[in-house]
Amino acid sequence: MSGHDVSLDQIHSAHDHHLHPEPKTIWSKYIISYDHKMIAKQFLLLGIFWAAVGAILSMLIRWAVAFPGQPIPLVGALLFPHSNGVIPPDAYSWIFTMHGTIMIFFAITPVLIGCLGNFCIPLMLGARDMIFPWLNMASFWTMFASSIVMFASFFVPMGPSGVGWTSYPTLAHSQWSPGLGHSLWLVALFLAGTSSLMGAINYVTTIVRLRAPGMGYFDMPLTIWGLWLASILNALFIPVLTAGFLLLYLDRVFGTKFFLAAAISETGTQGDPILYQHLFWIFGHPEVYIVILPAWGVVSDLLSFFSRKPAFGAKWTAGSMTAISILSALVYGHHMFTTGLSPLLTSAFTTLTLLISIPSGIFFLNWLGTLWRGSIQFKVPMLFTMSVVFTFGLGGLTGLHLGAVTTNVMLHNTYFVVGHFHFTMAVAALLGGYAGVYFWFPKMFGRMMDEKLGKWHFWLSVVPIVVLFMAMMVAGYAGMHRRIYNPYEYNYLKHLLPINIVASVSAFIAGAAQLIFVWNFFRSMYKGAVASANPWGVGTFEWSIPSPAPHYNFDRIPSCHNGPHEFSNPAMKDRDFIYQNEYVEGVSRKLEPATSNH
Amino acid sequence: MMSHHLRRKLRLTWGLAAGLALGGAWISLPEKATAQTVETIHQQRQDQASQVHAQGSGHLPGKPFLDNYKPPQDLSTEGHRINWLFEYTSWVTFGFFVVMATALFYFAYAFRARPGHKAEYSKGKSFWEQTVKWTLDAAVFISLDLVLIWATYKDTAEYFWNYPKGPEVVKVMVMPQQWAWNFKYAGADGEFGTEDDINTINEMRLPKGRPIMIQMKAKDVIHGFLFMEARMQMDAIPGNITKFWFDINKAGEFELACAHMCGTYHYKMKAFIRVMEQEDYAKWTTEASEWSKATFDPEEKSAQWGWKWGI
Repeated sequence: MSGHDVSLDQIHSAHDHHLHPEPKTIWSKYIISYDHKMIAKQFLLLGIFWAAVGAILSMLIRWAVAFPGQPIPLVGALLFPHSNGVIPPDAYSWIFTMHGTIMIFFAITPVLIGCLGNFCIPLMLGARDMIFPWLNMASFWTMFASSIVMFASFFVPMGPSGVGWTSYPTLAHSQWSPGLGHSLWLVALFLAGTSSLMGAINYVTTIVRLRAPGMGYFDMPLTIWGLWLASILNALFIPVLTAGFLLLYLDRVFGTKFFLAAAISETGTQGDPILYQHLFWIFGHPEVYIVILPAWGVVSDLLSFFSRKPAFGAKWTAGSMTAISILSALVYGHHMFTTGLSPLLTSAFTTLTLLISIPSGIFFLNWLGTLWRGSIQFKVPMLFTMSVVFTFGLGGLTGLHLGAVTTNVMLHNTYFVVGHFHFTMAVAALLGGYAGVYFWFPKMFGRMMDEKLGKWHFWLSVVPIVVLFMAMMVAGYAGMHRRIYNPYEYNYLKHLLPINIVASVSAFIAGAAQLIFVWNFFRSMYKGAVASANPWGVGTFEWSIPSPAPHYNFDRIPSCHNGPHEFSNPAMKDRDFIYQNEYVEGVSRKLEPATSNH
Repeated sequence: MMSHHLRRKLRLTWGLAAGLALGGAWISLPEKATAQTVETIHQQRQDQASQVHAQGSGHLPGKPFLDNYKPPQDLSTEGHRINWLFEYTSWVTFGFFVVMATALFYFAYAFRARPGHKAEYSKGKSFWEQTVKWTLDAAVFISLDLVLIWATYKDTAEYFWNYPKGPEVVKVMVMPQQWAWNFKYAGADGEFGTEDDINTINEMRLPKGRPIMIQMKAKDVIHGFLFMEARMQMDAIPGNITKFWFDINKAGEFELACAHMCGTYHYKMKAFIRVMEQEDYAKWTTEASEWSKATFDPEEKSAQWGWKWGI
């Protein structure tokens, strides 16, 4: 495609360390695989499995809130035989705890970061694999070990962890949540954190070291920007979280008192349960951005790809995402406004939190600007992309209510918070993940997913999901607080039953709609229409090679002459996009030896 | 490629770590889960299932539909700050959302791919494109960020941290525990830790129209004091004293909710707040204080909780 590709021999000398022969056996190809594409698929399947578990748990939550004390139809007696099919209160605790934990750490993270990160980074950078393939493999299998521990915790006596996904001490101490469940929870998350850290180190290094010759940071697709920033945040803050979990584990198992307060611990040590909240949220707030940044990146790219137009202000989008990543590390205190933080801290955290709206506004307007005067193709990935713009708008704007101390005092711990964060880190991240999966599916499996089923999946997911979380925010504003098994114990919440039923029915519809995806996904893998090399007409590197991507991706390492969003360039007559590794006279850059990384 | 030596080491480290973790977790099981404990849990579950569950109701009778989805009426002097800021933020964000959603749907319609329509090759660098973008972003900054920051600073200084002082302040110590609320009043002598302290459980009596100063500390795990009619919420933390104040301008019986996940019966952890006319409250405190003094038992340690009151 271009006269400037670097030859395989040249690359071999630089990259010998991560070349390994094409695997032949089932064991080396599908299990202990070093290939980033296979590892991406492993993460995807793991994520889909856990997302299904998490979704079933969310259905149980919605059943309990809308139909308290009533047995679950059909499967109730099977799930809760000792209470005649009614969800008991202790089970309700572990249901919402495991729902949150699983969705964040075992569903969204593996799909958005584990799968899309692994799949896109080498392909979009023009590399043959991750820079550390062994670490990549270890990252997946550590996650798998974590999954096994988490799964096992469902079957221990007294049930799995039931203290909330935030695992606040002192409730998380063994005195108040006895049993193996929460200890296994901590072990599982320690492993998951280790896995994320391995992945993060790999991603960051790969992006810095393995960009194709000629590819500057602003030539990277915005998907890569999102994954890069998410990985940097992961590498910085996951260790803090895992350290917190380790200390809590020591408290639970070996009787240390890091988080046990003086007044109630027998020996009078000066442990502090609030210290844990600092450790948790200094990770926890960036985590919101860790899951949403890859989705933002995918959205920024796909809006351009399917509008057939360059991404509006792409440098500013990348810059805004960077600014938000930095700010995300400085705002975590807004999760702790009601713990009695000093006014200096609450005011500072309010100010910093609200400042996030400035860069958010920039890239949001860039998204709309990309659509402006485009030629929008409503393919399934684009539908999901546009729904992210809509739902993230809702989630982002309601964040302002929670960022200001005054309103936070009333809304903290209510369903308003639940609705808000589901719009951002659940709905927007999930829909962004779907956009990515529908978009890269042809490159992963060499087949197309069915458009018609995709559109059914889209509409039956998005409409009820928006109703569901809007209803949650309304109920929260009306005073309904979180994590209560039966809200109607309170007289001032009794009349919220109708809106809770609306929310639950929406949840059931949205939940059922995901079966369409599962069917479409697995069926298309074997029976879908065979995909061409470039079904969407997009110019990033991965679309210049056959579908599915061959072992080692690129016969010759491509060199980068254009940005990722060169659409509708008047210089092109026969098609409306330019490949990144294509040289077009008068448009593309020549590869200067000085700009090459190799 | 990683050397075999290093890999063997890694494998050993991981094995040891996993063994330690899982072994430790097993040790931590306090009462080894015997068939008996499992049976007890099952019995509890059956009891729970057979108990009567509180039921929700339909919409509020005789009230406008939208009132169903508003918080309970604000009965405090300062709660209007919270109401005002909530409504302000909601309306302004709603305005921006309408602009955003209109643009999204209009663009989706107007710039849909169709025969004869071509995308424009522009990267958003033109003067007017930049102007629109920065104007809208500045509008967000001025109408939302600056107002919210200003309101927060003002409310923090004038309300949240501006503790009332003087003889009319009612001081209450609160100690939530799994799953009940303990309240303590200084009694007739105005001092905590004396024989005439008044203790109540799950019922907090307050006088109408006087500032209520609360100091709170949790007995076991973190709880949350959520009193919607006063628009007030504060965490109760084991080991840390949290302080806050509010007042209530209407007599009546209200509900105090535990806002923080505190275990299985979190949802049942409610108390009543009985707001009384000032004379009734004075009468009650006098009687209750005398009764406390008359029945004081130094051996009854569980009633003598508390800490040194200080602001």
